[in-house]
Amino acid sequence: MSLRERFHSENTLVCLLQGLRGKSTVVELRNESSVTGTIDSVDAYMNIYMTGVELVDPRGSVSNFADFFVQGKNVRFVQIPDDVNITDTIKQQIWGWQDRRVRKERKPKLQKQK
Amino acid sequence: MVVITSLPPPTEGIVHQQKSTSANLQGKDMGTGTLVIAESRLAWAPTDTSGQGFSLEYPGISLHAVSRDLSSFPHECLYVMVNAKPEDCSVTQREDDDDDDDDEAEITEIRFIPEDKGALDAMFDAMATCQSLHPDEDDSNSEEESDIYEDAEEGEGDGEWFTGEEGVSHLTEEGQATLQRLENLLTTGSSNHTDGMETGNPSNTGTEETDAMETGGQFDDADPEH
Repeated sequence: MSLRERFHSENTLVCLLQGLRGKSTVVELRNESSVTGTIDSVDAYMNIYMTGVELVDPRGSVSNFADFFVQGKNVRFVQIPDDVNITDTIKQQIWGWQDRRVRKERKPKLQKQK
Repeated sequence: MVVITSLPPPTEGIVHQQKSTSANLQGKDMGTGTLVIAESRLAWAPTDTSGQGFSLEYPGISLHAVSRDLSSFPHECLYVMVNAKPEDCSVTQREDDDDDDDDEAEITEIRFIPEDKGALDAMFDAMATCQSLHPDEDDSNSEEESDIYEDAEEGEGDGEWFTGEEGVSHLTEEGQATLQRLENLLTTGSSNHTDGMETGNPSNTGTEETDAMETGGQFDDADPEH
């Protein structure tokens, strides 16, 4: 992960989405489409890879796809499944990255909320 | 922006090329040709040069996917949804349902059907790679944050982190002296304060003790095994 990506991941709620790996949920897009499927991975720019998806396009027609990719800027909502504990997921993601670093003598930054 | 153009396929930065690929643009069969997935744009050119080819700009591509569901479309294909009205593109003209759909659903659906169905995964990956090369320019976040993490970079763009003894040699003399001082503060800070005072350790004088406490405190949540 590049420094820029790590910054985005650790300082925005994208880390919550990154913790949804393997979960099945609904992603609503800005062009009024919605996608239901399993999240394979999410990167720091909110680009989402999914598998086994059902896409409902803006006109309402339904298609099924084995592999699916959408650019972050086209995402409006990602529904968080009910069985996911949001704060725990965020903590796990952030601790997972910080375990690999030594803490440095630095004042904590203001956390940027999205 | 114009997303669908009649630009020819690029000749450089080609990530994936797939011959014998048919294109279906918004339900209209464009024939068979070659699909070129390049870093600059996505292009399809028909084998029959009298036919009409087209190019797609990545920022205009909403999403793409591999379709193996033969009930939606009779062939396994690479599905691409483009963020543009069909009438925006100089390539096709839709004669029906133009006004009904396009006010709300400004999308164009394109399917690429390669003869070699095994190549679909490679095509999908190539597209995802190229899309990532065109991040969102309009996103306000990408402007604001360019200076926010300037101090995080600290010399090395990749943020080199040293977790053990191997990092010490990378420090300057002054850096090593600072490291030694901080380590001393850590060890004396955790030991009995009276002992520290007897040895006349500067970290235990009035004002400096608070400094030691402050600088010591930041390590409280560090991983104990280090």
